[in-house]
Amino acid sequence: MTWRELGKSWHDTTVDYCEVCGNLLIRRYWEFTDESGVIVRACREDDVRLLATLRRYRAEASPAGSGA
Amino acid sequence: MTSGTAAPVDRVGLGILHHQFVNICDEMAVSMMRTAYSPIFSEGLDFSTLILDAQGNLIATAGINPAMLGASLYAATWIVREVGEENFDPGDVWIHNDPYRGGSHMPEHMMVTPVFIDGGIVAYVGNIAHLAEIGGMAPGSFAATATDVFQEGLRLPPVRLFRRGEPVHDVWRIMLTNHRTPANTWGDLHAMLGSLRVGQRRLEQLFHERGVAALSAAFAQIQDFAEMCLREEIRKLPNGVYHAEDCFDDDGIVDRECWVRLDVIIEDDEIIFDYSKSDPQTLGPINATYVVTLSASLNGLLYIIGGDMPVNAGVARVVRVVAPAGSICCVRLPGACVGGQTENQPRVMEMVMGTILGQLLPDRSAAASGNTSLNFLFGGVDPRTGDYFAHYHFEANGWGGRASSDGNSAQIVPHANCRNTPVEIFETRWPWIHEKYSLNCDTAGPGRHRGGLGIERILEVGSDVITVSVLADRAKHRPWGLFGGGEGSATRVELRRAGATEYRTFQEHFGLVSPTKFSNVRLGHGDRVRLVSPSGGGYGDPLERDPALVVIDVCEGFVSKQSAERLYGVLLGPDGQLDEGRTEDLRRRLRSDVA
Repeated sequence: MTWRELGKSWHDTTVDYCEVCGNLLIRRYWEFTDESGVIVRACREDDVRLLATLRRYRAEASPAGSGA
Repeated sequence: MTSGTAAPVDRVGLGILHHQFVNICDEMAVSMMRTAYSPIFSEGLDFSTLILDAQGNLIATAGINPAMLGASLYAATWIVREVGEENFDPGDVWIHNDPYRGGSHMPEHMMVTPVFIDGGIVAYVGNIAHLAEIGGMAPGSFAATATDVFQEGLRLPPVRLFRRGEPVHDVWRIMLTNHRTPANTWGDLHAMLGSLRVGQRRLEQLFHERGVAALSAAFAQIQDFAEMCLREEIRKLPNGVYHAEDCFDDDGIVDRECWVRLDVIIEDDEIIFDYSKSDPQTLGPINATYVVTLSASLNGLLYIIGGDMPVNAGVARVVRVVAPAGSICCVRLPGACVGGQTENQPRVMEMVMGTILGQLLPDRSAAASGNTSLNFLFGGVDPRTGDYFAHYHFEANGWGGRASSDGNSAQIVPHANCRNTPVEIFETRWPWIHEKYSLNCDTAGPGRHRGGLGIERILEVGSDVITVSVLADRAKHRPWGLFGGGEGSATRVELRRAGATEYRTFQEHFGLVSPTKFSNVRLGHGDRVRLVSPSGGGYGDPLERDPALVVIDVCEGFVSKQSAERLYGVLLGPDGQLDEGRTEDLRRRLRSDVA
């Protein structure tokens, strides 16, 4: 897990998104490897924990439309 | 000057400092309001003013337009990160309006300037404001039929508008050339600039009074304090997963419902707003940027549990928003997104306030408002002056009933605190003549506390040609009620051609895809536009409404006698007073019918 620079040139107009929450990646990103070995680009260090929480809840979720 | 001390400040001290910061933001706002050229600033108050720490983290904002909260949290941070602190000099003013760099939508421009003390940056002051006209495919720069961001106006990455206090003419010339009403742009940008100068001066005074170390430490503490306050409030909510969904009638391009689906996960003192099940981004411009969805989530939460806690970057540490890029809640370049701020944000915010938190805190929640900004844009040449004009008008509608009271009537949707354009401004600045502007009888969602009333506005064209556009919603899916309250009413946008006798929708006139989203319809002298904004949903069972309040509604013209009887089970005598005996009988009968 480490911070990496996007390393974009001044004329590069592409946009990068956090692969955990969807927020924008500006200039740098937090890179980590998830439990299945996939490299993830995130906007915050805390997104490691966020991803784990989301996966836990989604695994526990009952079929569509589950309420409180 | 003294460097001061960095000793911790107690809660009282933080409270005082917080109000000093907000006071500075308020003064910046007043300056902007009083010096702007465009009514969207001076009347609509569609702007925010900000104080940010040396890293660009939000420290304080005036309570003007919370719809810009998401952008306020990130846009300045990202300017600093993208261009580098080393590229900020004293007197520099940076500007950008890029929804793909933390902006809400293209018309909103952010300016930021550094505050230097003893040669170092100690803070930034900034503002975000909606310029009424920034070019693009439709006058008013709110094209309901745009299919990519490039059609929505001139898009600026972070660039210097002033370098060391001197205007950067190249940037000014590009902006003024591409905007349809450059004189207004000139005036409004200078209003923004003046507001920055006010904030900069006041903040410098505060740094001199308190010392750099002390105030910088307070910046950090006040963020920690906001985080702590919000965690305390979230901890009071029961853990669990809560679900809500709502839809748009269409996106203006394809006649198909577009759904936002939300799971809220509450776990101890943290909360996650997960929009992953929402529809893919649309072709039309109702997509939200990430910061718009963040604003909606935060504001929905803070309106219900925020009390008077400081709103700054600390709250964003607690609330996580998950909105996959390429969805209607997080548009991916080059998606169109101008309507995300005005349509998507209130829709999502009220899902949070009503559907989600209504389950947990029914006494603080509210039914749906009309829930569309009913954006009405127009432009043309004024025959009185020969000048090109353009304006962005958002319309008032009814708010939802809530536990403590009826919904407000004729107000802008609750996410933005803005105000609509006064009749006098319409008629003195542009060639429109008002035939009617009134509350709409018998439209409010019935309830123990009824919804607020929407309005009906009829405008007659007073020049040879005016080009109009509309971006609205809720023509098919009406605002929902809560806890047994009834639905509010639908939006209607209609036209009566000069010489005709009846109003028909623009959709009927021109064979449009959408009844509420169209661009660049040319109207002529004597044509009349009729805007009917939706009323809010009701809260609670209408048969529980105090009959005396129903009588007042009838007297005020808000509810007809027929509706009083049919919806509320209230009967009035020939003298217009409450007939208590017959009302009790009728309500008993209506309840047994329902049972």
